[in-house]
Amino acid sequence: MRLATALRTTGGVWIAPLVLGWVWLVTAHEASNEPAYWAGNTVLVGHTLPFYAPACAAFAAWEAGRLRRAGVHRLGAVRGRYAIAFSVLWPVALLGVAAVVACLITVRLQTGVAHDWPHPGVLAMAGYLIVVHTAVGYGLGMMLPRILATPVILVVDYLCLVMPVTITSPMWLRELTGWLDAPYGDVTITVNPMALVVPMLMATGFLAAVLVSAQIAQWRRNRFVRIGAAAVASAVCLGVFTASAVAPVRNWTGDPPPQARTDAPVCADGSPRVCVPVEAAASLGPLTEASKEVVPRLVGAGLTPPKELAFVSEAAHIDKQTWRLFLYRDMRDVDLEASVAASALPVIPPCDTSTDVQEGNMGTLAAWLMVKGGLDEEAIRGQSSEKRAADPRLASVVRKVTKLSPEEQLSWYTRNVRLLQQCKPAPETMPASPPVEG
Amino acid sequence: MPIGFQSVNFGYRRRVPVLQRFTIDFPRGRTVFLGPNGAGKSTVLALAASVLRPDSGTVVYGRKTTTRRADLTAFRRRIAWLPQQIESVPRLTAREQVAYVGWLKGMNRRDAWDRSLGALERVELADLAGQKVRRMSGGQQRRIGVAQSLVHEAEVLLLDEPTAGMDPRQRRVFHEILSGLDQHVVLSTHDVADLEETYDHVVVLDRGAVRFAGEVRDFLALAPHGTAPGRLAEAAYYATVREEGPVCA
Repeated sequence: MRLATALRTTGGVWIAPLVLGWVWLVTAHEASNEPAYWAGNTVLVGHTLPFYAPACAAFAAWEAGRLRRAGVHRLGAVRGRYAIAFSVLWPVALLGVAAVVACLITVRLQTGVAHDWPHPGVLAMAGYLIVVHTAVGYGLGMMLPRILATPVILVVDYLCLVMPVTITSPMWLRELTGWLDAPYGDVTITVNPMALVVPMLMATGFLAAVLVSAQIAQWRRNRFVRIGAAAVASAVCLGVFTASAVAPVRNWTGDPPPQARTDAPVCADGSPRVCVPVEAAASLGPLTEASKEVVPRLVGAGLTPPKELAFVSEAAHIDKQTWRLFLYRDMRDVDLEASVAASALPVIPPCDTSTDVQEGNMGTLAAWLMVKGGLDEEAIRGQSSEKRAADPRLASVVRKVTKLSPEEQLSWYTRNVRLLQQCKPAPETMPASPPVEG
Repeated sequence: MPIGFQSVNFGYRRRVPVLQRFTIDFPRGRTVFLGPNGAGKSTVLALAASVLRPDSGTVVYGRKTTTRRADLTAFRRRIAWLPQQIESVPRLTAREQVAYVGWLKGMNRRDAWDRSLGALERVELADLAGQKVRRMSGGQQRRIGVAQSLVHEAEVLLLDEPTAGMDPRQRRVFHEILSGLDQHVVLSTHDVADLEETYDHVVVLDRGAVRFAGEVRDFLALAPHGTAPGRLAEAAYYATVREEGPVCA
């Protein structure tokens, strides 16, 4: 139908304000405290998926109902089924695109100008899922009465998107929907590509089921034969694509494994060199000053001097002469010094947490580094972000260690780093248990 | 011959055939298709429009058949179809509905829009072009359906009870339209008035079998001797459907 006719008669005219309003509301709330970093913030397009994808599906079901009611497929049309479908579904796709654009505009208004561009992979995933949700809604709308299809697909689709996130076993279930909940705002990581591919694989299963069922509906066979064949074919399509989607994520335990950024950081040359992502460039100057204070003290305590301090993700591969910084917004000078000191601690892998008994505490090591870097106990207690060093119970352990000779302190440090890295008990790092009364 | 059926078998359910080895060639000109309710007239027209596919046998138009996918598009472009049940896309106006059907029938959007008003003028609904179809009377909606079949200038018009719900004046207008058409027309109706003036050929169907197929005057000759001139068609019809075997001219 004509463009003017389609826009005038489409149900999207009255549903759009509701959908776009919800998307704006959710995005504005989530993006309000995040830095201007598109590789992380584009994730919000996936985060708002439960608000526009089910709307597209329901809207498509409604449009299918209009065509069914008009008996369009009984008019001996020259136009093919897909052309007829497209003639009423393009406004649906437009609604989905409008929702994505609304999300991006809201992010831009909340976070300001970024140094990068919206993540194309996330946009591609969102676009593909809009198409699939629309196709599934249209397919259902062609089978059921309009008054039933629209609310059913709206509710079921919404639940299918949000329920998996509430399920803890199996954890990989939440990766199938495209409802991205990766930690955005962390400027050292970008979206894990598998988190985008897996929902698309899953969605392809649904799309294949709809298309195959549409073909089977054309068979000149008894209705029960057609329904049975469509059910079997759909189950096969869904089974194959679900298995393909689950395979790469079956060992994921929550958020997707972080994917380190690969673009070049901004650096201040010196000894050591200090490198941070471009979004944190404002902290480069104060960080360099802090490193000039702290690093010589740590070297004096016996640590090998680093060639570089880098604010990078734990997923990034760095050499042994690079210390990994952790930064956050609005850091004071003392916070920067604590961060530099704690960056000397190598990565301690997460060990088996199947028991409640803790056999080592890396916070003690971080606290010792901060003391050697020149921070006092009060400053250390304020460092809640730095590797658990702020635990007040650790102060007594650190005080005891600092009474040893410098060589003994260094030996204590390297010995316990090795034990924790090997997931072995490190009782020297544990605070003393309070005496048991009675 | 415009539309021909060659040994067509069709049933809506497997063991309940509606047509068995059905063979007929609808002649050029204006053909009226008569028969009692349930005779299979709508089924035959729907098969001819390629809306239904025969279980076996072929429906042909020229060298095109409805059973070959490659022919279907060309077949449908040349055939206009007005079903018995007229529906419209919700929220469309009369002109939008007619233009939409024109687009469905292969016209581009601009041509379909431009010609839709002319089609509405022919059925005397141009002044209601901007009104929503769902707010129109049954008779007006029927005329919208006729306009839909006229918009894309097909070679053959298949009309299933086009005058149902129309008042006498609208029926007269419809007959005038029919008289002015260049296309071949196959039309089913229960209205046998003005048979000789309006149509060239008659086909009578009863229980899936052709009881009569021939020219109008040969059909009227079947009326019992002494039948009043104004009731010839009706009498001939009753004479035909009471016959045990087919009576073909």
